[in-house]
Amino acid sequence: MSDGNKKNRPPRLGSWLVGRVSNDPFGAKTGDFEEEFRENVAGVGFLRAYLIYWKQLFKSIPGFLIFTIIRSGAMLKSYFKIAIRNLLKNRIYSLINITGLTIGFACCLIVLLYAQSELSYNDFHDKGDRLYRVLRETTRPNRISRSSTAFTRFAGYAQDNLPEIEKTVRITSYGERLIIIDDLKVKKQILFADSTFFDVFSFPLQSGSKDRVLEQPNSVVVSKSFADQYYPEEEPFGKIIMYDGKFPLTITGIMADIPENSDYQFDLAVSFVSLRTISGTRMYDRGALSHTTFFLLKENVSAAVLEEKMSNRMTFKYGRTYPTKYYLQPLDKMHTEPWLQYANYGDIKNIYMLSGLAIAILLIACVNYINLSSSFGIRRSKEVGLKKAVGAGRSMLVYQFLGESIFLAVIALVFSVIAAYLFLPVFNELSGRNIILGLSQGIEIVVLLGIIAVTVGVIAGLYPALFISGFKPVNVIKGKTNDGTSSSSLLRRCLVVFQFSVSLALLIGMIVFREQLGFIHKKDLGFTRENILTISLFEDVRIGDRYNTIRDEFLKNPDIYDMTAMHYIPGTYSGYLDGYVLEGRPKTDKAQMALFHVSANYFEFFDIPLKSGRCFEPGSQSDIENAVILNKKAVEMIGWDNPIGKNIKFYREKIRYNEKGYASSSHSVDKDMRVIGIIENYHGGSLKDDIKPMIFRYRPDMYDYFSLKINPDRTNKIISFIDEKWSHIAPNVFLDYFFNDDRIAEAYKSELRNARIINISSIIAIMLAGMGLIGLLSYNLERRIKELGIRKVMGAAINNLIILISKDFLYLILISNIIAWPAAYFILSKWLDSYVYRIEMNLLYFIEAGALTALAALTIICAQTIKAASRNPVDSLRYD
Amino acid sequence: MNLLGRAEELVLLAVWKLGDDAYCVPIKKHLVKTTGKDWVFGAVYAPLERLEKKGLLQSSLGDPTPERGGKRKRIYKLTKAGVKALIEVKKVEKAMWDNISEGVLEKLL
Repeated sequence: MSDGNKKNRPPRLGSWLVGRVSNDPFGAKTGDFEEEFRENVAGVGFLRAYLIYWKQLFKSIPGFLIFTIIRSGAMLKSYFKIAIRNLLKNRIYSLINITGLTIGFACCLIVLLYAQSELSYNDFHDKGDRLYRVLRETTRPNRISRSSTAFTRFAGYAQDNLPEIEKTVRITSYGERLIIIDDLKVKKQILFADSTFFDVFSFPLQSGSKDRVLEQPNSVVVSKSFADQYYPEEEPFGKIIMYDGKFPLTITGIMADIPENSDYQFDLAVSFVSLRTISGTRMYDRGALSHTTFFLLKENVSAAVLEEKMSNRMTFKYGRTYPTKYYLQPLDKMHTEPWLQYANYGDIKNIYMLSGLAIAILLIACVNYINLSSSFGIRRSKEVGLKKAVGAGRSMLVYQFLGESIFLAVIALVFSVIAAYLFLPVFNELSGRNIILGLSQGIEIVVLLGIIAVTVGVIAGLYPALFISGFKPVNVIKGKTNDGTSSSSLLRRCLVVFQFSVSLALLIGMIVFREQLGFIHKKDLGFTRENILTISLFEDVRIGDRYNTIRDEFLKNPDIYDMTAMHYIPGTYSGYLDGYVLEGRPKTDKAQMALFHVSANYFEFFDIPLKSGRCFEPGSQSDIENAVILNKKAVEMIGWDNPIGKNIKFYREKIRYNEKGYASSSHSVDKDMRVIGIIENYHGGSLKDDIKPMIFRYRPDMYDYFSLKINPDRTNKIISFIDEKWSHIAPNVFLDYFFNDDRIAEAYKSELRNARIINISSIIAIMLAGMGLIGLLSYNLERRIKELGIRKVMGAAINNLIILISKDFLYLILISNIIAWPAAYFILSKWLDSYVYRIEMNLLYFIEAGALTALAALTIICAQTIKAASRNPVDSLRYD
Repeated sequence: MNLLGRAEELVLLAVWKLGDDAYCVPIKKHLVKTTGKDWVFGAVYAPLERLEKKGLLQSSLGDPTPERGGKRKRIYKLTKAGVKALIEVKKVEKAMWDNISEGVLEKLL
């Protein structure tokens, strides 16, 4: 019997489920299910009965659930009503809570969007998982050079010798170049790429075959918007545009516009072989054009193994004089892990920094939330007491408070989406990105934030929920709330200390950033940068050649004081080190110096003082041929006592390659140069780099920029004058000019940007902490209102009361300082270490931050205390 | 007048027909038999509970039986309002089908 009974039992899980999901207090429904099951077992056998049972159950569940939800709706409605009434009753608390959380969530949302956009760079290429950028690290005597470029022949050699490679693509971006379409002169972003480009990368072609469009020399693929803009009516195919004003390119295809999240941004893609004409056959055939190489690896090939193979000189013999290590960087790492620092590239560090700030702000907001809702809950002790008295269980109360807390968090989340939407343009301005909050990107993040919001709601609500629901109804109704328990007030104190420590650290960061940037800004770079207008020549050599006539022409204008020409603008480029053979030293002991090509009056123009010797003689052929000037640093490095007249050889090893790319022979080219002068050191590049040893040559054939010293009051007049002249000097070349101080400031763009972001974050953080303090104080004062009343009656003055109240809080702020100072010191000294020229940490910065915070806190404390203390004690004491 | 839903109508009728034995299992069985469709418990509970809420049915707990694993039955009974509702249904039904002679609809097929 018992056996049969057991067998006839329906599945336990099923019975449990029925009882759980349906409203079944007496087990009647479970019984119905069971009865039918037994009947079926008898009728159709156990297995069938089992199946029928489960079918019945699953089909019934939706109905059960809907019913249960409708039943509980009434209770929910009551909870909801209570929540809304409470929010409205305590407006300040609600406002602080919701605003704080909204700000926290909005910051997180924006940062998540930023991180998502940064991490999504280059993720749209179908073959992206097999695409690698080739990087190399060459160990030369004295230094290691890292480069993301290779020479022309490299790709072909790799393709021939490494069977792991399916395809290679060579890409070189020439930036903005002058393009002439019929008579129109425009500047467009140009990219040169191999014929495999459109096959390997997923930049979709709208017309043209992806294997053929870049096959022929002088063919160009234009973007959709380019085609629409310049050939709105006609078919752009076969049309000819002029590159740099002189090289004709034929349009062979149209590509879709390049997505925002591509690191390569270009309007025109020109076939790589066109470089043979554009850069000259000599450079091209010698293989000396540098460009980025991408490998498309075959399926299931390990990049690490290939890296190993390429770095071994026995297995990969591509012309090497020095040991070279190759790295294959996956395409998706290209954006966030720049191999060399380029201004446009993102950096994973930035993402970390922003995430850190967003988390700090969110944490401060959460702390506010926890602190406020626990103190705010105390005010509701009567409600809780009454509920308990009429029979509410503890779990019900916990659910109610948790629910309210989550509800508030979700409201904040909704507001934060709106806030983020409104503030994204500001953030875009700050970060220099173009992030949008659209459905497609936003939805995942909003879901993620939803999870965060609910979690925050639970965490923030849990403490008050457990704490308040534990009240004893009798005590509560009698008015005895034991909220002063040491554990809860200790927790609150800790949280306040945490908030203020974070805010303080941010504030110190803000001050140190400000000081360092100010230091850089004011630092004498060793040359003049104000009131200098520079014309960029597009590396157009022929205009540089006419420097003298152009100079005469320009200097006729009395507002143009002086003019010079050079290859690099001082302050924007610190130079590339190369080896030079010195007089009296062996060939193997080359001096590493950075070469700069300048005109004769360069030093005088930029007020770079001459230490000894002389400057270049304008027009002197012998100076052009064999005179060099060194900076002080170079002389110090070499160690010459009397450098003037010393000989320096421009000695280079020229490696010949056979057609397979092997280094076959080498010969040397040397040129004897004589040192004629020494100049004072100046900062060629950013202050992040040290001054390099520099060597200057007078090379009128190497000018890339003309600089003019102008009268700052007549800038507009001068520009229109230059523009007018320019249309005669170079009729087909666009006048591209800038001011040197602007260009130099651009080098610190990312610092400025970070400084502004930190400023805003620390202001937000301090605001939130202040708001939290207001909330906590008013709670505290409310609790002590009777005490204050009695003290007043006994004759205490308002300032006594302020001291009494502020003592507690100032003590917390003091602890915060003790925590924040070393933390900020540690992080900020690391940051400062990235600068060669940096400020030293000053105790004043810390004191400034501490004083500011203390002042803000004191203001709040005074205002609140005065408000509370000026109440008539009669009111507060009346009921006892 | 408050018209009943179709499921409610069928359930109400079934409860009345089953008399003292009207709890969910026989109600469901009856419905399966008369409609020829497969009914799940969930689809029976919902109209039962709605009808009870509307005051057309009232329920009481019956005795536990061994075949129900010792669980009690919830036995339903029509209230006066329930009987009135059935009369109403019948009246409407009759009025709707009046003057439609046998086999007319079948001819349309």
